[in-house]
Amino acid sequence: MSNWVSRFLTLFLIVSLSACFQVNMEAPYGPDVKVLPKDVPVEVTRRYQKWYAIWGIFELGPTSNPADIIAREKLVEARVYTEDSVEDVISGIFYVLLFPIGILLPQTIVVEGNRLPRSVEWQTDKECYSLND
Amino acid sequence: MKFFRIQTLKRCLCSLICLSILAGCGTVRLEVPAGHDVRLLEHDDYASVRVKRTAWFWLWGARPISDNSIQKDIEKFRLKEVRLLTEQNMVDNLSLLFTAWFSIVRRTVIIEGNTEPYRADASIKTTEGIPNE
Repeated sequence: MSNWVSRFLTLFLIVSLSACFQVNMEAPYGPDVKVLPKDVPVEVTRRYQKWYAIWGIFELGPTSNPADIIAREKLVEARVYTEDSVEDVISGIFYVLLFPIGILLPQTIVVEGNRLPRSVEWQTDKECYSLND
Repeated sequence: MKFFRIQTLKRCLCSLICLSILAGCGTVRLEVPAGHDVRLLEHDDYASVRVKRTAWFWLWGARPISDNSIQKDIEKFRLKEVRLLTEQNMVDNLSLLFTAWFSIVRRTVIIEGNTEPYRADASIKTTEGIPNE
């Protein structure tokens, strides 16, 4: 019986280690922001970690949304990635060992973009190169 | 006493390995196909299209199994405006308990957008080419 209880507690502990979260990739209020294709060169790259606490109910960190980064950097074109890097996993495991309930692994968010529109220029250049080839 | 310490150490090591196995990586990308002019939607903007799908990864997120970019969704639904939400919900967490042992992890991807520009000023710019001051 105690075996079953310990198994149940282990399962409960594993489940309680995980939490829910959501990353919103949206534009800030104000001027239009275009979404960039994959290969367009960018002048601004911002990479940061976002943490969630108490099963994802609370977001930790004051400036933790891509929209804030886009607004602060005054980007008119942007593309955004969310990723869990190896660094996130390692730091998350140590964090979980310190605070074992409800802390999820952190998310790395990468915001890339340009302060002046470049994608049209880049596409025109690319078409010119392909025509010359 | 020494045996107890070795046992404890082994348990700690096993727990650490288990935790690291359950932790998954995975990159989700907000980018458009080349040649597409797509605006990033704000938080409160209306979206007529909402697509919810799961992005699957193996090797704990190092390699995507399914599409982890939204380029094909933008082409398929002919979106002119888009925003992307990535989330890890309880279904993902429960699935992780069974699939992460085989290195397979998942993320939920929600794509929202419009096939026609939603904002009045955006539609003026698109249809009549009048610059918005």
